[in-house]
Amino acid sequence: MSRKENSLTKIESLPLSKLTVSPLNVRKHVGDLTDLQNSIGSMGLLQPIIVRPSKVALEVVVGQRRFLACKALGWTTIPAVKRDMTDREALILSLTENVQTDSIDPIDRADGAKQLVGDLEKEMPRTQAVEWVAKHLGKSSTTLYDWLRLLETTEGVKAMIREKRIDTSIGARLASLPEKAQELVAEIIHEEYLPRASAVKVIERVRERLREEPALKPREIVKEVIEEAEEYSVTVSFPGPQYKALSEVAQEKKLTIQEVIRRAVKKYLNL
Amino acid sequence: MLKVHVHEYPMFDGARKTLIKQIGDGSVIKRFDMTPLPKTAYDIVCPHFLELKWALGCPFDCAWCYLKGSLRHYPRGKNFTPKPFSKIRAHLMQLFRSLSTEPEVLNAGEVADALAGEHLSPPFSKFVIPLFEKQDRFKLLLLTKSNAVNNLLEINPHARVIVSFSLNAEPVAERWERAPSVKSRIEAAKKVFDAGYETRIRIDPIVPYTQDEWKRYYEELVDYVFSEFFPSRITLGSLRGLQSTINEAQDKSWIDYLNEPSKWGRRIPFDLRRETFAAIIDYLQKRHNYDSVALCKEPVLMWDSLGMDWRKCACNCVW
Repeated sequence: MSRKENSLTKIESLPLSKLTVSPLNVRKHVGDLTDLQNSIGSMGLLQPIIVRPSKVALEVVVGQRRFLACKALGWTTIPAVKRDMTDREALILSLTENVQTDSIDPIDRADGAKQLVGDLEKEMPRTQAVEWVAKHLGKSSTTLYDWLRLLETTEGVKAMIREKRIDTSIGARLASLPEKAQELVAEIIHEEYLPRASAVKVIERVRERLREEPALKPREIVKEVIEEAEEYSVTVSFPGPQYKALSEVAQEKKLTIQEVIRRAVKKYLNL
Repeated sequence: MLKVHVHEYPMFDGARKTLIKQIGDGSVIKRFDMTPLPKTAYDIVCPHFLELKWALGCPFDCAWCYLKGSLRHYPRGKNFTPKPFSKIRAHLMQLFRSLSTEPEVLNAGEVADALAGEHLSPPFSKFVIPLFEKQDRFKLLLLTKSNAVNNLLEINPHARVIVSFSLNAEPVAERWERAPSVKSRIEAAKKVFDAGYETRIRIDPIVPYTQDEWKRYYEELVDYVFSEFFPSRITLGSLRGLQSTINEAQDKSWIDYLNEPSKWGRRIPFDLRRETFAAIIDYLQKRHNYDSVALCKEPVLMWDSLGMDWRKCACNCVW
């Protein structure tokens, strides 16, 4: 067996006092550890953490939450796999592990992806770097670009994403708005519980309107956009002869009956 | 946005109004409009109310429950199945944004018991009531056979909420309703009443159970209710069974009472039905000086025979 294979499989019991969280660990927000502590307390630690030696200490690259939970439980040692790795390898491992478990704060994930892309850009064009990272994470390039766009949102929007008040795909689209509009539009999307498709339309329309009239207040635009996007379906009955006349006009103009009615209403209302 | 479907409806007072028919596909908010405006004495009086279909099914198992028939084609049948709260929220917010100006009640207890979701996380009441409290055009009707009101007692404000308890004479409930006891439902009603909720009751279905005693049973029920709280409205309904309900019922002993066909299922014969209604209405007036009473799904003929004006129907499911 090779040295590298040995280092992958050899699980050691390492003293917690010698461990520290690696600065390359992409997870910056650990969340509430209570459930994890309870689980480890009753079932033990089912998977060893992964650490790498550094000049100062042993750095926890994968398993930060487990490490902190064990510390909080008063453990003195922890099962771990020690592995030599470069900064880039540590970043890839940390990001991959967290993306696969889907347990990471989306902004931390985006930060990690940005760091890795930035590192790779030293050797390749950005588009290639993004593709490389996407491929290694099992994601599409589109998803990676969305993650990176999250970092262009304001702190307020990032907080809303963290709190799951808006989802990440909407967050990525909000980045296309000027900063002054981002949080306001995000809050309105959240308050009005707009479905995703509607939220995307609202963001696009707000962006267009702000380009046309940069001086407009975002709140007014959003209200106007939401009203514009509302659709009403009205059931109307017609006596036979009227319906026949409508039908003939529609056929003549190569329109649907509904379109004939819409145009007639628009004309009647001078819209 | 979800499409808002509107329709012109004839009202009982002769007016015509443009009202919301449904939001989006109607899977959450839809108007119950299956009973056309009465034109003959045999037509059913039922105002077209909005349903909030937040869930399907009910954890209780009353022998005559129409959900057995209505939900027979659904994969989970009558088993309680909540819908995603995100979907309910989206449909409600679209309704609240709509340009309809008519104040209306949304009945959350038509295809599910309205308090069947109190064990969920979050409980349905704690999810939905704050949404209603943010606006002032629509009210939420929680129609229930449950006694699970603890969450309601923790929610403030709740001015946009009506709680309506479905009750029955104790011997009838014991015989055919697999739900919390009538006593516990009345205790629950008292709690919400004391907490400031508008509290209504339905006495439905009225069953002339045991020929000589039924009148006393319903009088006892009425007395017990009034000894505990004051309902803002009482709606009376008689035992009835749509064919689909009859087909799907396991305990069919209640069907023995249904000897008369009608435009809304099989029913107790008219004269006996009228006798039960008259007895309860009379008792409410004389004993408790109470007259905020309406009938549920009865023909014009029944309303007329009791000296009640169906055009002014203010039953359980409306404002």
